[in-house]
Amino acid sequence: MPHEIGTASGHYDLLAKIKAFVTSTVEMGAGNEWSIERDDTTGDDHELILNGPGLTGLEEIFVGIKTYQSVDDDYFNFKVMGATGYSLGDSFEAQPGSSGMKGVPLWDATIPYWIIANAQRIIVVANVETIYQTFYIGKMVPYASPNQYPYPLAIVSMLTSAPATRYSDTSYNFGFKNGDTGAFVIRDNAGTWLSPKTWPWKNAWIGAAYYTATASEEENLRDTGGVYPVLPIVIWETTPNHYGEFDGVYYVSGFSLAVEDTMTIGGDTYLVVRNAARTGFQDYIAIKLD
Amino acid sequence: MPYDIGATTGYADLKSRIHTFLQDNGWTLSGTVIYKGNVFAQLTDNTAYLQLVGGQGESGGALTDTCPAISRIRTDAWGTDVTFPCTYHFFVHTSPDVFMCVINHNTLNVQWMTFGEVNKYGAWNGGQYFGASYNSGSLHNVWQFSNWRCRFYNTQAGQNTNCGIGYFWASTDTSSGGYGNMQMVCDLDGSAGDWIDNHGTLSTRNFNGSYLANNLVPYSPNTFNSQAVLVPIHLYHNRPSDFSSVIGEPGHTRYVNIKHYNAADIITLGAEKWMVFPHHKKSANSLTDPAVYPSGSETGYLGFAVRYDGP
Repeated sequence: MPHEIGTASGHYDLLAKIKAFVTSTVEMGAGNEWSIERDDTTGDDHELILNGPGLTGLEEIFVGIKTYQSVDDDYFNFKVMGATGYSLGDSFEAQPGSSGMKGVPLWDATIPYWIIANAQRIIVVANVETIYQTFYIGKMVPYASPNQYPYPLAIVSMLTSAPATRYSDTSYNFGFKNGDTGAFVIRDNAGTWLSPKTWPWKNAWIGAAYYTATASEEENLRDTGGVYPVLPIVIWETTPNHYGEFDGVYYVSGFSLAVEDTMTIGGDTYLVVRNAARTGFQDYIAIKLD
Repeated sequence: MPYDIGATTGYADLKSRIHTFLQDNGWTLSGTVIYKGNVFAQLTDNTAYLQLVGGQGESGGALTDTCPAISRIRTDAWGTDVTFPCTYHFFVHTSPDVFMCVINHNTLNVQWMTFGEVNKYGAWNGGQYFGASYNSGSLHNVWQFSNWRCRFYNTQAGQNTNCGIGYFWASTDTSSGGYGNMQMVCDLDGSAGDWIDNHGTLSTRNFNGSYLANNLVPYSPNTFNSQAVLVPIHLYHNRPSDFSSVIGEPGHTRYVNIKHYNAADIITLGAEKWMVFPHHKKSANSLTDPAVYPSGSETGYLGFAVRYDGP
């Protein structure tokens, strides 16, 4: 899938580079590029609302990115969202069927970044002074037919809302981990934005701490003879429901892995990304680049 | 056609039918050993059971590097005994090579037998496996079926347990010399040709497919579309120093919640078809609550699916 690795000069520039990449026919391939519904850089808060064609080329997938910042408090962040449509007359925050705002802590200095995008979702990884910020906006892969689940929109970010949080705050996690923290939401068929769990976090044999497991159950995965199997991240809840899994994002053990490592599995290249500055065994994901 | 269904009159007949079916699909019978590629198995019939043992080679019609454990389909089963004639289903697949036999007896009861090779993750030697509904042990220790956290099939506080019953499911036979119901060749942390099995507690020679199915199979089928997800069977293998590895997955099979299905029902997903079975006997229990478990022979809504190429 298309990806770009580069360096932005700050959060405004990162937003500009995301826009340039995902709307480029050259980069994305004809028919896979996102179209722009709103691109407002006139004020302090830059706004970008995009419409994706989906893998069928016949869909409309609405996502948005907006900057918010404070020099006084030294934060220069994104807020990201998903919506069910676009309304010219409404604010970024009041778009129809909005997921609500989910924050991504950034800064106004050099940001090495990775943009991984296809026609149905956009993933961005930003290295902010070795604190890795990741967000995913767009469709996940549903365990259902299009008729059963026509708009499986997922928003994964770092913050549960869009507060005045500096990147150096140590309390936040990427939304992939455990799922039900509020930094990750999906839209169900009733139009409700849910915050379900994610597997294999929540599995008693990997993420055992969540279940207050016995000591013997508190195990972690490691490599398998020097190879790191990646596991799909399954979105589920005890209702029961298994909604689906993320497109191109996988669980990988942090055992002897380092952020920005790349792995080749079955001819595909995967980028290893960690949860902010954390280095625990359960704080890593692998994102498919190709 | 890599699927066959029929009625069998007994274990000798079942063994003969398996041999014929496999030979018709590219396997070789040499003496008592049926084999293909790296997979070597020996079937022995008896009036009371059909016994399976795996090896790592064949010489003069006999297994070599034979596993010390055996697995069986047996008449004296937990719950309802097998009576003949009963229905059998045979499946054989390639890439990887897999054979699966399921007998459906007395309407609701299932026993299964399988041998093959897993799709391996990572660099290690082995991957050949075999197993069946029962191991070599007697039945007297089998007790109520519990599935809390997909840990074991036959465990409840204070009870010794024996058999595994489940397909690649964790077993908890901790008795001296006891074996699970599934065995596989794996030299990770061991020596070339070592066999590991699905019994015991968290020893480093243990493997199973159930631990990583925790959260996935019991909490199904979906409320929003009533469908049960076919869950890949990720084989979990305990390693030294409290770590574990995902070492592979058995081909052409999945775990599935069978709340909406009965034995031998077919799930069609696009061009794929899968035939589903309970691990032993379906009962109305999702097995998400450790305090609520079915009677001894029942395996709740938990089941497995086999890729099906039949009509």
